[in-house]
Amino acid sequence: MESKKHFDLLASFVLGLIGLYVVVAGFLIYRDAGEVFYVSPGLFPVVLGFLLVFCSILLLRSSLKDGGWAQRKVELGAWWNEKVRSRNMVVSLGGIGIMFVYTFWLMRLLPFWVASFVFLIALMFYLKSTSLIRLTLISALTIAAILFLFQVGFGVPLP
Amino acid sequence: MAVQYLMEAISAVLLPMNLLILLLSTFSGLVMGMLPGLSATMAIALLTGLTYGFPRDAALISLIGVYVGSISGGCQSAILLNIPGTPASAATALDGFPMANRGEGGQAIFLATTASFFGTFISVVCVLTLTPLLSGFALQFISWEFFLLAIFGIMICGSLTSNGNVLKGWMAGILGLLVSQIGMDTVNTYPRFSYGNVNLMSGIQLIPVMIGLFGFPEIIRAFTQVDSKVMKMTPLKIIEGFKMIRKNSVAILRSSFIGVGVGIIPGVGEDVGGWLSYWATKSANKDPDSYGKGNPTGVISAEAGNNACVGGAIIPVMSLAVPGSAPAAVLLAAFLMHGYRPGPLLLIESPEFVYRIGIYLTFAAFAMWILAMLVSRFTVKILAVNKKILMPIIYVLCVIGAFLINHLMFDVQVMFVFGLMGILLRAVDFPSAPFLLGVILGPMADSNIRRALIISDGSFAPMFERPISLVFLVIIGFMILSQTGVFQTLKKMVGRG
Repeated sequence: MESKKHFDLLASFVLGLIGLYVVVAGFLIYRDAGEVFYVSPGLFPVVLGFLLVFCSILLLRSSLKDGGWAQRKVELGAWWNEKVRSRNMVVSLGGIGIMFVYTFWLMRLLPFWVASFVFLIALMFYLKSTSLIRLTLISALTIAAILFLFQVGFGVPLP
Repeated sequence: MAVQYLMEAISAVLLPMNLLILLLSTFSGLVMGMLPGLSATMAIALLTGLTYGFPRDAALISLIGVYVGSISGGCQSAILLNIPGTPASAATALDGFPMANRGEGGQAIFLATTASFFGTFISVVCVLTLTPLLSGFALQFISWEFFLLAIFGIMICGSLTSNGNVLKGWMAGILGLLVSQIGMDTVNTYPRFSYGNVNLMSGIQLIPVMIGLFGFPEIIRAFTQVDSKVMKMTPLKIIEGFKMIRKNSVAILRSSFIGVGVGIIPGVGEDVGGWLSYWATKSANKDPDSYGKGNPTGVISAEAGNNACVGGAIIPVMSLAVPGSAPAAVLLAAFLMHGYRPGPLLLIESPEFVYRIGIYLTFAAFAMWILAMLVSRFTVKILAVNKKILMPIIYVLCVIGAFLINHLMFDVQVMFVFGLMGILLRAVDFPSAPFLLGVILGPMADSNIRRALIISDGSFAPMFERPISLVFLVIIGFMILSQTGVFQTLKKMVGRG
């Protein structure tokens, strides 16, 4: 099984920082809410933040076993060269980009059925799922089925 | 008198119109449960409005049918796509998906559906016999127990899904608990981590988080598949399946009783029932390492447990007017809408009600089993579809599922953000399930610990004085010590003398 200790190292840093942020934010909530600490809305976030920092330290410790900093640095470098620049990663990021445009932009600009139709064609075409004619037909049928099922069948409003 | 009530309920459900309503509602529930993001809660909520003008019996039958159907339906997508249709079926995916990967998807669905049937049926027996008795036990729970129960649930889930590194499972649970802190707190209504955003002030909704965490990574993974591998399905061998069910009858019984017990505890839903049952079966098994790799007993236990929660969650609804789970909360509102007054007086005012619910649950379980078997013939075909065609369509359904909760685009965006988080969690080997459970149980843990501390003037002493709390504390302590290797270290030290 592939060792993921270099990821553990990264995760321990990121989650440790999140934990520290939550502890500080929790104490600020405690200060601003003006309640006794055990009643304060800051209590639980502070406890969780400390727990996260504690667990991050334990994870950091275990990630540095068998090789230490130097070995983890080499593993991270190798991972970057191998995986991040791979074709799979580029395809995934492109797909996520199309989903991002659909979710945050296309649905605001166009009616749902148009946005979804365009999205389905764009993503299927990008992924080279099938021929253009076939994927256009599949997209149109899917949107028609969704509109029928949800708007006519269940009577629910769509985005 | 009880026999008369039971006969009346049976004759009501056997009326042609009611039978048709039962089949349609159970089928709708199955489909809704199967589609990622369309939860049992949403299915019942949607149907509640539609049943407004229905006669009482027809309304009750349809609500129970959709509840049973949606909880069971989630297993099919969990098994075939590794995307739990509802949170309740998250534990089913652990062994169900590896089974489907081995080409045993049909068998896994048969086992899951049959276990669901038995889970529901056993819960009906509990509904009819234990409603007055067991509600007394749940009444003894106060804030300390609810807090410890939430922590216990997350720790179990973290341990179960951590893939060898318990710390990662628990950290994922803590992250989920942190996400649940976003929005107005339930004790002082103070906005936390909302940065002046009105949408964040109302908190992060569970369904978009669930869809994002479980659906998104699967969709992205399909993008990078070099060839769309069609899984070979073994033909559904019913006799073999029944033999397997018979072989696992102890696991079904244990899981069903755990499910009923979890269901009775207010606020703890079908998902915890599934996880706890799975954990209990895994712990009792001689070969716990086989779990998570396609062990049929894992599928059977998780499904019997989560479906038994359906009956279990209805018990406190009827006896205390306190819902055992989120879908049961919607069901409570539906009962009120149809003129019933759930609570201690229900058995006096409408003594037939408990029997009717029991019979409707039984018939719904039968309908679910038959329909799920028929539907699975078509669900299995999903695997044969090119995932690069299927997954974009599933993403559109995920968008609709996230949107339908509040009719807000914000929830769709939340789903996207948590989807990215799901990918990151998967990349660094952090399990998503404890994260989700943290989001579910966070408000319960937070509000109850603070309420308990308010009552005790900031003292933790009552937690150690209450027997139920003590039991929870001992179990949690035992879990921490055993999972962190303290016992092994002690054993070695003792061995050295």
